[in-house]
Amino acid sequence: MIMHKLVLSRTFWFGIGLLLLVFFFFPATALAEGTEEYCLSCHGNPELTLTMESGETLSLYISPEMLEQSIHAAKGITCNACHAEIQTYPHPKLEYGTKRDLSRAYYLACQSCHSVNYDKTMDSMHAQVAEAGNLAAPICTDCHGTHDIKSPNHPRSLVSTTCGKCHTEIYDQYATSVHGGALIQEDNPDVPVCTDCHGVHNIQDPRLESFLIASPELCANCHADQELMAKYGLNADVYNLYKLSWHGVDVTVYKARWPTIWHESALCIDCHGVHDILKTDDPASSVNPANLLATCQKCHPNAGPNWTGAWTGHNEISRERTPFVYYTNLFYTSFTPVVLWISAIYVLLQIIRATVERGRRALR
Amino acid sequence: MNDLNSSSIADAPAMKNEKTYTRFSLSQRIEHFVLLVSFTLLGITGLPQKYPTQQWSDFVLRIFGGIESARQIHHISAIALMIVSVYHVIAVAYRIYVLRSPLTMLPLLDDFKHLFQDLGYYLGMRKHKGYYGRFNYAEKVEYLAVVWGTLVMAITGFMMWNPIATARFLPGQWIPAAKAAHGGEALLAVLSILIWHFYHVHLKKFNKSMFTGKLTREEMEHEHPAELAQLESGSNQTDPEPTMLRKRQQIFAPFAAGFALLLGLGIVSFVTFEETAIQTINRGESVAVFVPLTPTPRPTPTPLPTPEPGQGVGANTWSGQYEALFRNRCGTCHGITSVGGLSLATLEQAIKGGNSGPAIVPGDAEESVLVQVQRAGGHPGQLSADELGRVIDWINQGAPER
Repeated sequence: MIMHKLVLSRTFWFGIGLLLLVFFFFPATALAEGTEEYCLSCHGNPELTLTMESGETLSLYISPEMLEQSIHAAKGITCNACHAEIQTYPHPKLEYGTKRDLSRAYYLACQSCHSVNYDKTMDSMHAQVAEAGNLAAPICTDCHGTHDIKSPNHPRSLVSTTCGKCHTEIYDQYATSVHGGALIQEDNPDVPVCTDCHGVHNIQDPRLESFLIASPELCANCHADQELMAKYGLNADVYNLYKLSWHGVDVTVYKARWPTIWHESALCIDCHGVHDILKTDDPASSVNPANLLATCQKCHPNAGPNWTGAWTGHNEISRERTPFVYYTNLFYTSFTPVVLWISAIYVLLQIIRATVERGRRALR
Repeated sequence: MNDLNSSSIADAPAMKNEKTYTRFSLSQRIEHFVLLVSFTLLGITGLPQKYPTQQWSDFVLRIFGGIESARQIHHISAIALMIVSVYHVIAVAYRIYVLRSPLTMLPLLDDFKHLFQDLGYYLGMRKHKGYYGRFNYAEKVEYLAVVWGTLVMAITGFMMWNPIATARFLPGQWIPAAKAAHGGEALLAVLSILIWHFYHVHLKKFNKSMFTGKLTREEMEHEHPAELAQLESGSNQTDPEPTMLRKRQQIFAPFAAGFALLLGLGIVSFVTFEETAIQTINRGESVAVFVPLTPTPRPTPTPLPTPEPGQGVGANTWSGQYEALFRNRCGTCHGITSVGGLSLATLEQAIKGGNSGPAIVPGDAEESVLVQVQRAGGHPGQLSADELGRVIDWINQGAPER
């Protein structure tokens, strides 16, 4: 009985609330439908500016053409979807000390529709940096824009140029790399843009041990893809062979299981470079035969000229490339079974004989 | 070897009133014990490294407290094995040179005869096995295999422990070859021990002589009848005369000491020879990570068509040289922003000029405001004398566009 009452009263209050909502906010809803035109009647004036407490001049002009081209306008999402607190004209004065304060307050509006991606950004390195006090750390609008939001990856290179707005020097390295060059000059759809390796909204600190240890797998996402690599004449076994190599076992097996291991082993990026990866036949490549020894010496400082021969490459052991290794393997793969089979047969003969002998003695 | 010959001691146990024969001296039993422990540890810590991706490898390495401590144990066991090997070489040399003991481990024609006799017995074609001497062919094969295996493991182990030194005098690919041989030999050794050794001394009959040092008379009859006959007939080798013994010992001692010192130093250098790799790789960006692009945003790149050759780049024309020159040197003000009403973005706009008149008057450099302003000097985008000279020439030639 009590329960029933409670349910009744809840429905009752809900009804009242709904009524109130309709009465109070209906004019505002009506405003929302025509907000663009309504707001632009003032904000369409290019000379409309505001001097902030910090002395910065904030342009309050919203270009109608720009607004029209934005992805939100095309979907019928208008001004007060984000500027939800503005219901009427004249609207209250906005109290923000600096442009940055304003941006950091308004970008929270993204959350109301894009909550999944917004939540991901909370785990990102950018959010950590902001939490540590660096308010210049990027927020949604720094990458996506505000009134001019468009698809972030058309053309695909837009992703990398967006990151390049702050990471200029890395962008410049990337732009000359085999990946970046193909992206920017040919709009190649196969090469990675920044976010393919670093993630999109939950970008992690790439210096973290966990990121580094997983980085060969990141490369393998493309470089172990037979079909994709065949397109460029590259060997797709490199990752699997790396995993069995001295370096690779240390990284993919031991370091992954015992992160406290006290020495480090080379990752793909330690030899090939990170943002500045070049084709191996490029004379400037760190793994070009001409530069390989110097690359090894980064970790093996005293290595001599023969040293690079110890690197069997990401190639199957073959008679042509590494005959010593090939013949050693051949010896043990043939000699070992022969020895063990002979031993086993010899031992088996003795067991049979001993069993027969015991049987005979028991019968006697 | 000598111990047995010298002492067919009647060491009668109270329980069984049976004569026993010393088979292994205490020092030999210690040697065997060190070999047993180091071999086992080497195998248990080594094979998981040969098969790193296997589940059981993970399990075994966890027991040893992880890969790093397993490697430490592997290295320490290797050192123990090397020390016991050096000791063994000296002990054998002592028995051969000082005691003149017979070389009982050498394979002889008799061993082949025994093998065929045994095979005949196992196949039921003979009534009894071969009459073995002190060491039968199965024991000799095992001993020689251990010698060979230890040599291979020590050499390949050295190459992997000191790869940089190895690559100084050998081709680099010998190092991965050493790794292959180390793993291959290890597997062969461990499996041989499990099949051959375990059957012959544990399963067939648990032979405790390696720990007690003794064999009973009955065991001798079964396993080493030829040796027993020799012992009982008294035709076995006897110790040298005491004076002779002392003389030989005096010669042997310095050689043994020198050899021990040499190999001891060898082991030390083996272990401490080199630091193969740095322990921490200095990872990081070679460039600054956060260098924001201000105030100009980077333009969205659109793939440019590959310029076709022969477009007259570098020619003494507007499009050949001056368009780019003005864009670079003047474009900040006299581009889109057209300060003073002047834009130098196109030749047409340049001829039209700004508030002070036409910037370029084709054919007449003196009348061109651009030349006048630049001659006066001190302009924010000042051309060099050489550049201005070229501009004047070009204007006087009629300022051709292309």
